[in-house]
Amino acid sequence: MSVVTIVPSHTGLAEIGALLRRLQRNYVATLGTVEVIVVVVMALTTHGSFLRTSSLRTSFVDMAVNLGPAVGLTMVILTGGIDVSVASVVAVDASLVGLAFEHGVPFVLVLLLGLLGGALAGAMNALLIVGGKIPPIVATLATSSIWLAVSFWVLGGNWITAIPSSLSTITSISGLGPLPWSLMFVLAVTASAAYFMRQRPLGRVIYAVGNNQEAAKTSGLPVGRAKVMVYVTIGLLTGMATLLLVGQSPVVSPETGSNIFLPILAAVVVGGTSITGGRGSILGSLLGVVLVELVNDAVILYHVNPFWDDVVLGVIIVVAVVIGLGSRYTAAIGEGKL
Amino acid sequence: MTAWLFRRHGDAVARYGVLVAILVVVIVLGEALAPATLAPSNLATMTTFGVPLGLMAFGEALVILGGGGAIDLSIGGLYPLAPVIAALLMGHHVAEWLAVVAALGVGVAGGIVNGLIVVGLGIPAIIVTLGTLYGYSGLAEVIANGVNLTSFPASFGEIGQGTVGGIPDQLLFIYLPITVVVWYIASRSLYAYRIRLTGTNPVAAYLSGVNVRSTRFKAYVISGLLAALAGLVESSLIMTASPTAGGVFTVFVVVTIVVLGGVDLFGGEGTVLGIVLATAVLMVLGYSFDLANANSILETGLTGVLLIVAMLGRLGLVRFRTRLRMST
Amino acid sequence: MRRARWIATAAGAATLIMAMAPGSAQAATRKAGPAHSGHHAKVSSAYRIAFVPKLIGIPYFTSMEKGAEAAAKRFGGKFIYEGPTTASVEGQDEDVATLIKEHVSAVGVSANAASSVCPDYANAIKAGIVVYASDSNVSCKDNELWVEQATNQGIGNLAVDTLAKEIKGSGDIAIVSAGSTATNLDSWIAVMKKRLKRYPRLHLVSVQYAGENISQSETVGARLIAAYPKLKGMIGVASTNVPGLAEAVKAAGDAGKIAVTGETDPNTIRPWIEDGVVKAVVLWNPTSLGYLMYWGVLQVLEHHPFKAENAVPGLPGKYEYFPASKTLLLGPPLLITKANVNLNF
Repeated sequence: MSVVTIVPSHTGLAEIGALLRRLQRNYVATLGTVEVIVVVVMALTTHGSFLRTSSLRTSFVDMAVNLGPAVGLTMVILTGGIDVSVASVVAVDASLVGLAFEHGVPFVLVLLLGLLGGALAGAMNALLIVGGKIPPIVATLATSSIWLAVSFWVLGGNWITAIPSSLSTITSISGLGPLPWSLMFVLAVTASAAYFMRQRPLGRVIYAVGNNQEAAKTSGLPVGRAKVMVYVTIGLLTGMATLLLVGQSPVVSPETGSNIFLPILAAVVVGGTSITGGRGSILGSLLGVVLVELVNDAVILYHVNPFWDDVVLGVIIVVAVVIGLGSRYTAAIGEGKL
Repeated sequence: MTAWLFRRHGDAVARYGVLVAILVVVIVLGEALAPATLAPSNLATMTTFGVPLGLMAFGEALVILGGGGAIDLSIGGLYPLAPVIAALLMGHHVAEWLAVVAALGVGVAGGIVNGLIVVGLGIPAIIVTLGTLYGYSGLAEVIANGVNLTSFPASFGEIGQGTVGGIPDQLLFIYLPITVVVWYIASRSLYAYRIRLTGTNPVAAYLSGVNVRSTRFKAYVISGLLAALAGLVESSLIMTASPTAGGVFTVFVVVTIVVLGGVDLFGGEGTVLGIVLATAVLMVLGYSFDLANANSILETGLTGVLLIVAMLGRLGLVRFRTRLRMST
Repeated sequence: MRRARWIATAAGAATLIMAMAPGSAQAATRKAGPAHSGHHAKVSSAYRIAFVPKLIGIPYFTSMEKGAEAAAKRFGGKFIYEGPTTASVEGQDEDVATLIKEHVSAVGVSANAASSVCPDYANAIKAGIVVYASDSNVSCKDNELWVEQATNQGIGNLAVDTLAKEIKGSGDIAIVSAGSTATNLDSWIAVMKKRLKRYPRLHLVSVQYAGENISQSETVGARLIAAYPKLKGMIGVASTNVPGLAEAVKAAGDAGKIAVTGETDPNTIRPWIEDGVVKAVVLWNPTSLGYLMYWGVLQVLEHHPFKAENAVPGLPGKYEYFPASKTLLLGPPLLITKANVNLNF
């Protein structure tokens, strides 16, 4: 909407339309610009509280947690799939990590175990989807229920608090000024994922699968391998997020991660990734993660009644897709793609 | 024997075989865990747990039938929003029937908003309804100011709690009639033909003169209405409108029912009987586990396993049937 | 272990229901209802006392479960612990309705919504089942017993006084609760607001809700710290909120500058008390609460009237009963500090 207001008032409707269309073509760039403006406005109007080191650090840690699974989810959605088991994988993987700490497993080994646990959960989804030919939403809905049950059963009504403080130090306290090491690490992972998706052959296969799976198959592309890869990847990245989350609040309960999924999905779709597959980018999802974080920050920084939180996020999702993606999908329908 | 069954009733076996088998297993399991699960008085209580979910599953199934990857996540937000509105109005001494109509109207309006954005602007349903899920449940919290509303007159409890000859009113006067109506809409009416064709092949539908957009749009409106009704029935049972009810977990359960009931997520395929059976499966499972004082998380886990078994079983049956056809 | 328990319960339920349901279970239930409680009045080992917590899977309610189990072992009868996996109003109602159908001797809740189980409670009373509440009260007129952990006044006032003492009675403070719909949490917040009037230089700047979820509490805490630069203290209202807030303060490097207190149990808060981020929290012993609850319900079942002060075998001290509100009180709230954080509950 701020897009419209920067247009001089004497401009004709047609020119506004043209501008909108140009913005839609460069959706990611527009989103980035809007975010920069929002950040500047927030920095100027919150009397410095937004820029306070500790506040920034918390926001950065939140983003580090969400970014990994968001990158994974982007890849999954690019193949035309979906993974709704993220929250439950966090719960079960956190239980695994917690138990390992409780039983005195060496620190580095626990970190590996956390990553491995996530990857295994992802492999199980891949097995059901690629091997069992079960639609992704059904398969991941099923594993989601199963993992949640397992984490309740493993924890047996207790929480695990025996998390070494060194984990919190690594994940959310130490860093360069307000920038925690964890976010820098996740950003590096994100950059490699972006490189992989753009430059590596298998990355292009992922796009091809989402655009037209049958065509990809008949042209002999490794469709199965690409799909297995995306589900294992999101599992692995969810494992990474689990470690960050357990570091952020060092208590493991069955509710750990329970509200992580919707913000991540919101970030990916606001970032411009088409839910039907084939279109979208890692960069867009990174910006999506930033936007979700900005909304959550703004609601408290501007002392808004907390109940408005969800309404604001909902409106932003709808407005973002209407402005950013509306014409694209309308065009796609015209071309008979939907 | 199996071959004979397949030859005579191939369609029905492929469609309901796995579901009926699962229902039998669940009933046997339930009886083993807690005998008399299926005694009439238990059945009456049990159905009150199934009605709201079953209603929402009908709406969700209609949306999905329309194809194009359609799904309605926003039911998780209309489910608390409608009773919150009803409670607010009744608290201000608005006549009960008027408040109920207004609350149902909110469901319809919510469905219209979804439909307009999804169908009108051609934006994928999962994104739009994710946004409106946030929006509607957020509104419920804002309007209720975050607290449970209890300003219902005693007579409002009749729908949710009343019984006729031991049979719950909500089953007799809400679920059964709506099942018939939905069955007619989704299987017998001209609309059934339109939405199924739209779901299977929108281009063919368009070419044969079906208004694809208006067909899909109507499904969202029905889904919104049924979600609002489900919310009202539940709040009438507990005489409380909770703004935090519903949410994404409820949507997950509803989608589970729809999928278990054999609705094809890519559109065009699915039956009302399948959904009724799937609702019964989850209801019996939940109730017998509760009755056996089992940890309720087991039920969640088992639902996941059932979902996988059902999908693999159904795929297996279809393959078996194809092989059988090829051999004869 | 859990499995063994529910198989045993199932077997128990099996024999009972079979004995009661020769034909229509409904008819049998109606006949057996009052006779059931009358017949077994002196044989407490046949009582089945059910409790539905707000949610399962959190240590606080697990402690209550342990306490009630201990009481069941001592006084006889069977304790049934069953609840939803999230603090869901409908989920809790379904559990209560099923337990009534199962025809337990008594059913009670820690209410997710004060009014939501009232229709069920009315049915239960018709069927001769005793209804009660503990930890978070119901608003039902016909509730027969309310086992209270400490008075709302006691809990709310102590939390505010503790915080005021730590920050020398001045500065901005915030309250973070689990859900806006939980009866007990809301009443404590109301008491806290009233008590704050005694401290004119304490300013309540925000009340937020973070669910029964630690990470969410951490996030909300961090944002509060950012939004209110002059923030001096935070009160976590549910047992899950306090550790999240403490972690937020720690992560912000504000330990010692921003005080955190609230209602939580020693097992949960121990790490933060030990490293000094949290000085003191307010609680009662949930294991004792579960024990007292089971004992209290047994008294109602056996028609033993309460005295103004009651001795409970197995618990130290005397426990007050207020007939007007049918309240059995555990006692004054406990202040948990470094000195007694090793209590195991």
